[in-house]
Amino acid sequence: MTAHFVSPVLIDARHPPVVSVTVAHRLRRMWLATPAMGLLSVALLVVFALCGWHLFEWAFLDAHWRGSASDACSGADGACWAFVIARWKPWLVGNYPSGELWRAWVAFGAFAIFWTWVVRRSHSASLRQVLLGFVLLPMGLFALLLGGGPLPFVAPTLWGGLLLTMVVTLATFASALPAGLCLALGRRSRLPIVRALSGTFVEGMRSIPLLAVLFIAATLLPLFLPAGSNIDLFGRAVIAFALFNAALAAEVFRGGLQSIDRGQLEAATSVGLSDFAALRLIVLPQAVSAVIPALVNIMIAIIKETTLLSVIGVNDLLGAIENGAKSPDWMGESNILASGHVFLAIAYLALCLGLSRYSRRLETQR
Amino acid sequence: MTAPRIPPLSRTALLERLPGYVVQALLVFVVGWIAWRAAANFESNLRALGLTAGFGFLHAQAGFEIAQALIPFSPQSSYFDAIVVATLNTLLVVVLAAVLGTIAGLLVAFGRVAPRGLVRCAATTYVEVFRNIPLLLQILFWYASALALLPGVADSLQLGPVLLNNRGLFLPSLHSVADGGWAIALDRPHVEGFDVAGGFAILPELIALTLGLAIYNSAFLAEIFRAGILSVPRGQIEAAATVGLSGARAALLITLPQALRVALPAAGGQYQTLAKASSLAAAIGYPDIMQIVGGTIASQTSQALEAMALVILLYAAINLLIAIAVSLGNRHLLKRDARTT
Repeated sequence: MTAHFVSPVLIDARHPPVVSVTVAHRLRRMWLATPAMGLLSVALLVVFALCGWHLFEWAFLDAHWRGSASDACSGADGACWAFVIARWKPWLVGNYPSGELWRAWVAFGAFAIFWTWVVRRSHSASLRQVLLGFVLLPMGLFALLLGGGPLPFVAPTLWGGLLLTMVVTLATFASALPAGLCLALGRRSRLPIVRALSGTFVEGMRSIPLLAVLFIAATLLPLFLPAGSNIDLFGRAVIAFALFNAALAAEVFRGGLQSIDRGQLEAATSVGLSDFAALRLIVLPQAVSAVIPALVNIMIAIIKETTLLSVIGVNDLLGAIENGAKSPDWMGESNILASGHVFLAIAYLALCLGLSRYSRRLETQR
Repeated sequence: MTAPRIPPLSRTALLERLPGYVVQALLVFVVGWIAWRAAANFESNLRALGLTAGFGFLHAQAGFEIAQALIPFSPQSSYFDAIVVATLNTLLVVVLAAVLGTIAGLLVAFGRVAPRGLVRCAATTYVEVFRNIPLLLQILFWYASALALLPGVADSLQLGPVLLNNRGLFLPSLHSVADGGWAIALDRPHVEGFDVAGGFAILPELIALTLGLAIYNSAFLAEIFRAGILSVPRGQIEAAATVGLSGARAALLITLPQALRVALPAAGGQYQTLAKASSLAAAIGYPDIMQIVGGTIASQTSQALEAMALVILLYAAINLLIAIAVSLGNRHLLKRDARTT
């Protein structure tokens, strides 16, 4: 008589448990993980559905699409896209003379081609070419839009809308980057006076609002220039943008320079490179390519900052729509301005969201 | 005891450093020359315009009304008082927007780390949308498009004792009745003719500016807080679940304090950005530093340089104040941390 502690017969192998991952199950796990979360989800769904339906009704079903004056949108029930459509020229190119409009189209086209090339370039394409393009393109656009020589002269006061926003953004980007790089190098310089001056500039600029810089450029700068000489408001605004963003870019570049190991510079000097050559050939290429996503973010910030131009009376994309809603033809209906605002929100959202996606892609590519 | 002697520079060392000295001397010369020319131009331009520089105007009578004053202000008050009122207005909107933005940012940040689903989707959309639309456009939208849809004074919305119409939000206020006793009476706002009488009015400009600043910055703050939340090790949440804390209590008691400690320096930078961005008040006419000092006072007194210098100083001071507050808060958190561990 023996006591069996183990079963004398083999038990049949069991089937592995069936994990049911039906669609319904997955949906429940995703959306209704806990009761609170489920409640929140349902509430959000209701809010989304209501808002979405009202927005759809406002933007499409009750919208007014045709017309050339505010009576096309009488009755405050739907969006007034007629305002945006009828005033396409002010928000696209401002008061650019109709006979010379082809120059604006060429400028838009050149930028589109350039940007496609930048985004599509294979990763081996030289960073230097891209940066050079970003400096040369605004100069080319300026020359084309301003005219001179065979082309009739078009004063920058006539530029406006998206064209102006694009040109100011590119010009600011092109001038703020080199200046910011110089400032960042200056802050790391061995020379105490250079270090102090660039440090003071960057920290000072970062502690005051952009609007104050713009006000100073718009109202005070002429007082500091010799009597008689003058830079027009557009030029002064670009200078203000460039100086302000140079300080921001300097901080970005400083981060990039700090991320490069000191050994790199020491190794470069030990194989006989001069300080300058080591900086140019070894440190800068690594530092700049490390901060490219941050530079794209600076560009997004500049696009958003250009809306401040409308406060000092330069006719940018926002200013064109705001002024349009104040023009005699389109006065009176609050819906008109609201439609303009929604249109602008979508336009800026498309621009900035696209760029930030691009910046994130660059970040993950590295 | 003799002071350590600095050895005299050798000839080669001097030669090596010479280019640096030359560059610095040149730089000082160029900057000095530009400053000198600018000052000379400024003086001659002022003489041509018949103006004098100086801060003497501060004691003169301001002669204008300010729509919102937290301390008593009348047109008979001096420019200095106007500057104080404007500064208080800026501080008010900055504090309001920072508090609201932080609360919204925290909620959205927790939504961003929720498991995949509608909540996370909504939080992500919120961040992407409000971060990528320019702040000025958002403020103008709230001011001109959204608040303009509110009814006029005659048919104001009545929410309990609160009145809401397109002239702003009217709250009941406490008034001390001054006939002998110390009784306190509640002053309810009510429509009187074409205006609202009684109560405490919140300007539509303040509402629009606060909303715009709070929402725009909450999108950035949400990302900062999200990074903080993600930096809390997973084990902490698991440990909290093990000792029986519910999800919400664990988030509040375990995750949040640790996340805030990580996020505070970056959030401080965002608060500084918010304070600077409050200058956009000038676009909708909220009487803040930019509008009153950089706008009204500069144009009334023609002392644009002095006014803008004051604007810069005040914003720099507010920035410094925020930096000090954040570093104090940071030190407090670190100290508490050191005590508990």
